[in-house]
Amino acid sequence: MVLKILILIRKHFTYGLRGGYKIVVNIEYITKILPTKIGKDLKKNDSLNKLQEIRIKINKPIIYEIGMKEMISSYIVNQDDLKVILQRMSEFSIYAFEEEIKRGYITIKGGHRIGICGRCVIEGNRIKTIRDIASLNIRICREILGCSNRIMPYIIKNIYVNNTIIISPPKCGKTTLIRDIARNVSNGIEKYGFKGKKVCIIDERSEIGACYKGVPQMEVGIRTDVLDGSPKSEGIMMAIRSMSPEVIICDEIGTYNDMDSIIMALNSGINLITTIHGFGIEDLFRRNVFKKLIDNNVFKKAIILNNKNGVGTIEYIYDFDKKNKLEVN
Amino acid sequence: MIKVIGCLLIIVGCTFVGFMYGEKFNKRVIQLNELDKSIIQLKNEIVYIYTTLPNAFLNVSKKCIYPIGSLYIDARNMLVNNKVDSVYEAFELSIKKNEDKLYLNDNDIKILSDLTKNLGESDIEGQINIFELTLKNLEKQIKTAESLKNKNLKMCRYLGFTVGAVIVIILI
Repeated sequence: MVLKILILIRKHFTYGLRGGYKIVVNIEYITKILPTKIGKDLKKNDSLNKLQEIRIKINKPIIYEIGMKEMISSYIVNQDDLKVILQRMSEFSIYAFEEEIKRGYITIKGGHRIGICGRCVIEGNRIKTIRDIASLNIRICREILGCSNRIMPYIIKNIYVNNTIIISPPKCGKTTLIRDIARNVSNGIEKYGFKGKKVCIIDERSEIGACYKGVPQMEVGIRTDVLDGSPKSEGIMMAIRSMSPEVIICDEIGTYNDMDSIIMALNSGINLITTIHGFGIEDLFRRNVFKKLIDNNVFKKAIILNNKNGVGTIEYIYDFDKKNKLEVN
Repeated sequence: MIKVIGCLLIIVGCTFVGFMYGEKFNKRVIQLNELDKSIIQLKNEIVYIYTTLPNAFLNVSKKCIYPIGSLYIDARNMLVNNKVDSVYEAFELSIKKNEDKLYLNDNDIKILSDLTKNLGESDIEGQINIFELTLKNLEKQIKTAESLKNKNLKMCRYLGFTVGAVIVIILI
């Protein structure tokens, strides 16, 4: 009986431990959208808890990215396979994902994001939809509970939260990190005498909270509200008006509208934790779009990630007040 | 005495068969109206709330009478449990499963099948067009079914009694 339960748990969730963190990867929702043959092919691989990407193209073999390795399957994908995946990932309802398809991806249950490539249909200089979809990239969402514990002393200061920016190249774990930061800020940390804050996550691409029917499936904390699918600039303003948050968390800022909303949020006394794509603090200073944030001394700390020693390696932390790099203990 | 009881039984039996046969026309009209209502509800779920099909089917099934509600819930279960690869396939199996409770004819079923072939496979404008076409076709079917009902319902009932009476006369 116990064995059966253990097998059942393993079937639904793959747990792993890395450096005392608890890694949760929910493969079930991926296998659910795959045709039976591809599902079986996926299960042939070992270490599925390290699965990062599944790349599927018509008339080409499937490529699995497991950890830092690339595994090329012998199975050649056909048109019908892709049609079945498309149907299932959109819950047989393409109309309900029109906006997501325009943006080139759909987020499915479990927070996994599926990128779409095909022929773009243009209307008035804008992408109306993508047809003849020929390739997909399934990016596996993983939750690492406790991955932000080490950096929390840099983010919280007594009872306050420092405005923090995470700078990282793609696939280095910034979304995973920001999700765990949200959990810690929201729940509070007894060790530091830090009581939880009211957090609002502006989750434009449903990656942080991985909401399904509005309910976050990832652990984002007890005081966290998630505004799912909302553009960041509008979402920040909406959250200020409606949820009176103390901390706003959003992923990958980058437009002038985002900057205006952030300044507005700071004027309302709200703290901000966000991320950008980049390789170092220079990227923040170099790009014109962030000039307003730099001029207004918005951020107190910057956390720079890389994947030199595996995904989520903290390269250094930058202190904007002291203008120097800090070592992470 | 036995003869009288026998005669009565024949007349009652034949009348019952006549009523039953006539009821088919009545039930077809009821089911077509229910189907029409359910498609309008489905259209609202899709066009105004952007509900995904499995959830829309669940919501519609709760508002429909049996067996139309069963068509939706069975199709929904097949989609959710990955038993099928398309909405059309789900409805084909669902119709087959509920066949003995349905009084719809082949043309009525074809309208539903045509709808399910396109359901969920286009943007919202495409879905609106498909719904409009389906509702228009269903309206025609309802009109035909109603005129058939008006023509045949009473006739079947009277015919049942008449046949019973004729058998009794012949036997006497």
